[in-house]
Amino acid sequence: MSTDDVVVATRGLTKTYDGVDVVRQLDLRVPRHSIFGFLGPNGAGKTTTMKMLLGLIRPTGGTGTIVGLDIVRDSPDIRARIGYLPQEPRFYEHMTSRETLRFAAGFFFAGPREGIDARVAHMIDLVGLSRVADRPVKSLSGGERQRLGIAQAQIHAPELLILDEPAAALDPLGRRDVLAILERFRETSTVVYSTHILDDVQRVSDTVCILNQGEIAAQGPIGDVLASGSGLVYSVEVEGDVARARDALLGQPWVDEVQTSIRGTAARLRVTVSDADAAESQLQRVLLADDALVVREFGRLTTDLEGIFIDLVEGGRDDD
Amino acid sequence: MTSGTVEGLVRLDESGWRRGLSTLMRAGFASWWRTRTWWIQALLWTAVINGALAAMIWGDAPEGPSVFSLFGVMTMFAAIAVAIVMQDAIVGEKRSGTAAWVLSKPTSRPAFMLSKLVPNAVGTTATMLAIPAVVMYLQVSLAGIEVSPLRFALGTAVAALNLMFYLTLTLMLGTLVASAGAVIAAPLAFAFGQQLLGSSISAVLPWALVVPVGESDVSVVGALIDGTPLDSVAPIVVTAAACIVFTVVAFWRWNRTEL
Repeated sequence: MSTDDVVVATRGLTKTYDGVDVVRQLDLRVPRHSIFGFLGPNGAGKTTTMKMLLGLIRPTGGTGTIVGLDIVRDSPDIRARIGYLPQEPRFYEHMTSRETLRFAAGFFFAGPREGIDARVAHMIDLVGLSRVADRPVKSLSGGERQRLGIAQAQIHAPELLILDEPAAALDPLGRRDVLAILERFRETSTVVYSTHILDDVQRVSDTVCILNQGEIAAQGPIGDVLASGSGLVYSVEVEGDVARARDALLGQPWVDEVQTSIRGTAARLRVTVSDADAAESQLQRVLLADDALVVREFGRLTTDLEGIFIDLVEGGRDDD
Repeated sequence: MTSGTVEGLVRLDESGWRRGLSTLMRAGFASWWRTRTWWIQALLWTAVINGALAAMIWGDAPEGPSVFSLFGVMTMFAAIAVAIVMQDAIVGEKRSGTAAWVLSKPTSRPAFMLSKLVPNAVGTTATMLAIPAVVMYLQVSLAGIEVSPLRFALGTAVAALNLMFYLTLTLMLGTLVASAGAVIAAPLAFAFGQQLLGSSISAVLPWALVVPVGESDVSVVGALIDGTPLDSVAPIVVTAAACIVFTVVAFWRWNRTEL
């Protein structure tokens, strides 16, 4: 991945409070136009990391860049190019939603007034706040406040959106709407969002980072992370002489283990391998060499994100 | 539309400490003058200050000097109200998260602090002191008490300095501590504690600006409006210096605050 393809890059980013590392040696890489899910249990360091990227907190160690600019030295220039939704967003209560968006737009645009009003109206429409646009912020529901937060973060069409738990306080319908809005931003922006709702990440993210106790436990394209959770395991459903099939597989140097479960006339083989390339090219051939054997299903096993997350987080606790 | 540009809109070109200042100032002034705040405060303090003075002027013994000394004393209550109004300006925004939200925009920390200092200084001075003072001037004129407009303006300006003392003190405390209780308790304790420090000390503190201290029967504000010689300019100098120190500390601390 070239530097131009990376929007956020950190090296050894660390934040220490009273001698305790809240974030430790973080090496993040967020690809351009990705929806980057930043996962971790409460207290993992997600919000602290986001605030360091925004310049609200000064790193104790390490460096970071956003769109090639240094997160400490160039913070105001970075903030001109990114949008941020805080966890539990709070705005000035005496302002209406429309005034809040005008206020936010004022940090980016000099005018003209009609153009700003049109942009504000567009964002209100995009997040579905038209009905309550002229009501004071203090009268908005949690979901409406969250939508307003997304609108103000996107008011200047930023290159990067940083959203801290954008769907945490929402009901399922509210969450669905927020995720749909995020997907719409993919074309023009890169989205980094933190969450502990794993189902959401699996639905919309293409890249994930799992943070545990301030350290990266896993990072990469979601397919790779999901695949890594199960190791190199293939599932094969066969009909015929299962014992012979099992022996044939165990005779291959790249097969470590074969577990068998019988289901009526068929059997499911769980094949653990040491070489994915060899398995991809040879596993089926080894089985089909036996004319009496029928292969009904073949594929690499992946686990869901929740399983991986729990493994990584609980593994981290076991290490303590 | 591509990322970072919005068709038909001109990007703002601000840099350095002024970045975001115009937007923040507009919002700061709007919070006073485009809400009910200004007329509620103006009405309240006009009634409080002029009500007390009216009782004296139109009561049994309207005495010029006493009226202006009482004016000074009444502005002390406004000064305490300034501390109450200002307690939320920094601590409230730190706790609610609005400060972090605003500072996630391309704005400087000095601009944020200026937007708390200047609009609140103008708002409190205008509504809690200037408007009530104008009404008071009309009232004493109606009562036939002679007073020079220039001297009256000078005395009011010194009362405003006392207001600024509590405003900057509260602002500074907001950057130093996280508790709203501490931010409000310290100015209140100082406001009323000054008289306990002994007349030689309190004679050089802000207290002496608006309240007669020791054997003197007139405060600095009263003396300026009456046209009587000042015992000392020390309280003016000390208060002005304290305002500057508090402001400098507030800006310095705010630049280092993690949100």
